[in-house]
Amino acid sequence: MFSAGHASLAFRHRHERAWLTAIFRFPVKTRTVPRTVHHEVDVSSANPRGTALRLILVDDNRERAAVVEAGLRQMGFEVLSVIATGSGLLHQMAQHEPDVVIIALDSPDRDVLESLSIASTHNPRPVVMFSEAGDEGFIGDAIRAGVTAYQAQDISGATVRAAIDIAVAQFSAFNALKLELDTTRRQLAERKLVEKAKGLLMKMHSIAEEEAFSTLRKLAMDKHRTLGEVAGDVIAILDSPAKRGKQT
Amino acid sequence: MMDNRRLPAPEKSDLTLGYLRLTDSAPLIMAQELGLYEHYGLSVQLQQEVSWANARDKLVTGGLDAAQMLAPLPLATSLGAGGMRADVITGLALSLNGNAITVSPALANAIAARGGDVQAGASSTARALGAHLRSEGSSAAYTFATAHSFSCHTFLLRRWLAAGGIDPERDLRIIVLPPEQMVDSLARGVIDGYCVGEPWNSVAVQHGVGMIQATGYQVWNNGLEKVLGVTGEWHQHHPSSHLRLRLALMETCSWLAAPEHREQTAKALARPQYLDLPVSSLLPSLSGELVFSKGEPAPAVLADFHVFGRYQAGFPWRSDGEWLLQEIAAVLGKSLPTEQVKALVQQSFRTDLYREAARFLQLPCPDRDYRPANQHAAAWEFQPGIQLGPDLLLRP
Repeated sequence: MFSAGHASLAFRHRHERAWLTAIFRFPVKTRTVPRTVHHEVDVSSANPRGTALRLILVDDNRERAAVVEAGLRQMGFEVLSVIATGSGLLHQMAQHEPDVVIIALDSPDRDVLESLSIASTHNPRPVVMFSEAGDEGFIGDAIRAGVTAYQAQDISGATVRAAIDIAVAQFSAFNALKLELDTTRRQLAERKLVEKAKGLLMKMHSIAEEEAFSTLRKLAMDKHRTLGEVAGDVIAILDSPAKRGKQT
Repeated sequence: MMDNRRLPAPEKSDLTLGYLRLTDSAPLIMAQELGLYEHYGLSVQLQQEVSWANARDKLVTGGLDAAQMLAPLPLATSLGAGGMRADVITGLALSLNGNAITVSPALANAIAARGGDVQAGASSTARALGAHLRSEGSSAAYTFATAHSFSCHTFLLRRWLAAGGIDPERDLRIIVLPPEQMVDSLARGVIDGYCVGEPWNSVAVQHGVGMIQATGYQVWNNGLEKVLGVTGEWHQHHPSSHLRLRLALMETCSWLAAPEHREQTAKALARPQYLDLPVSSLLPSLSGELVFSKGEPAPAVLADFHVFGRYQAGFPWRSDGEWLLQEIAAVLGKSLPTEQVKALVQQSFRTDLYREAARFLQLPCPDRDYRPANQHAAAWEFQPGIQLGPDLLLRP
């Protein structure tokens, strides 16, 4: 049995080890309502849109799943569907686009969930695992390793709430961090391309840096493309081996 | 059988080993049945796991001492791809080959209509599938399944598709399903085909819901399939228990190499406490007499469908490790620097541990860590006294 205190232990340890174990990323078709990630731990059971957090519960044990589902509903979560192995987890994920997935530790679908994290980095979802009593050792160690988990026997109140909040918070923090890193990387790469394209244009047309840049910007605006994309095209055209051959 | 009194005492003698409900769990199960764990002073509890993720997580968190693992998994775990990152090593491979690609009867008919014939080889069916896909244009949306993102199943399927000029990313969809769900999903039309280990190909054939289009062997002759995984930390604290475990399993694998032991193996595996399946589902691949589609007049004789003992099957070749790691990178859509590949494989594929065990058993073993790939169509001599099997790869 885990108190909220134990759960916050997982939170504290998240920087130390592979705390992303439970935080898988799912490819889901682009949805019409844009999803934003929040950076703070959300103490309510609401998602960023202000509605109840929407969950999918994956468990082969019907009896146990019913108990867990009832508990989750009581706490104000919206349970979109309760599915057993073989009832198309992938399909359900794409259709419902849940905020959180809650999966039984002993579900064969765990490899399926992990495959989703590998296949794509789009529209990720946090995952919470739960188990029967008797797996204390494993769950304890899993929490120390950063997995957000709780036990089915203790579905009342704080523990589940804490587990889900932590999963969402860890996930949001990770997602924000990753987004930031991706943006920085892209900006850096773009800047390099623009610099190179500028240099090529300056050399080819014997023009000043400013003029080269405004040429690129005009191209981008005319073609409704980013500066980086246009720079890439310019490099591909001007810097191709054939072109270089002609120049010499 | 060696005299185990020469061995250092085990640091831990009660061990829990994880395995999945697959025919090539035979080494772990038969070591128990033959009393070989006991012979090496170990008391082993076998624990069936329902997912590779669970087996890995329990291994890493200490719930399991050792586990049967897909050959790429120690590498993927050491890389931190997909889930928990931890140093997982292997000093012993448990099996080569053992997989097949099965499709629905409807798709099998389409393949046959375009001249695809599994008896003529895997490239025959792959090319026919490619021709079929191109003829239907973009309207065809086929879905194939494998048992894990980082498995030989995924790599074999991708290679087979490539041989048919099919882009596994664009031309169809590959998803992951638990092995036991494959047959049912195929029957219900959720998927059109899959690559998985036995008995899940034979079961589909026997129920008439699937037809085998290629064996894993046809795609990669004698490819590394399952390994014995432990964490680097567990090995450090239990070197002698680990050695004893490898010795017990190596002796079992040698025993399994004899064709006359395979029926006994099928009967043992079939029992409720192990795979809990009919002997008739396990026997085709274990006896090397595989039926590709229901009602076939005679089974194909494939003596190397499962290789446990011959061709130095237990040796964790670093060349194979590097290939697997590159395939992992391909699935992730990135390339890894050569130095990182070499370093990770050296850390994870412990040929030194295999040699240590071979010395105790006075078995000859390869003195180099790398074997050539795609060069031999028949068994050949790697070095005096060391015979390796064919190593052809299906050409893309």
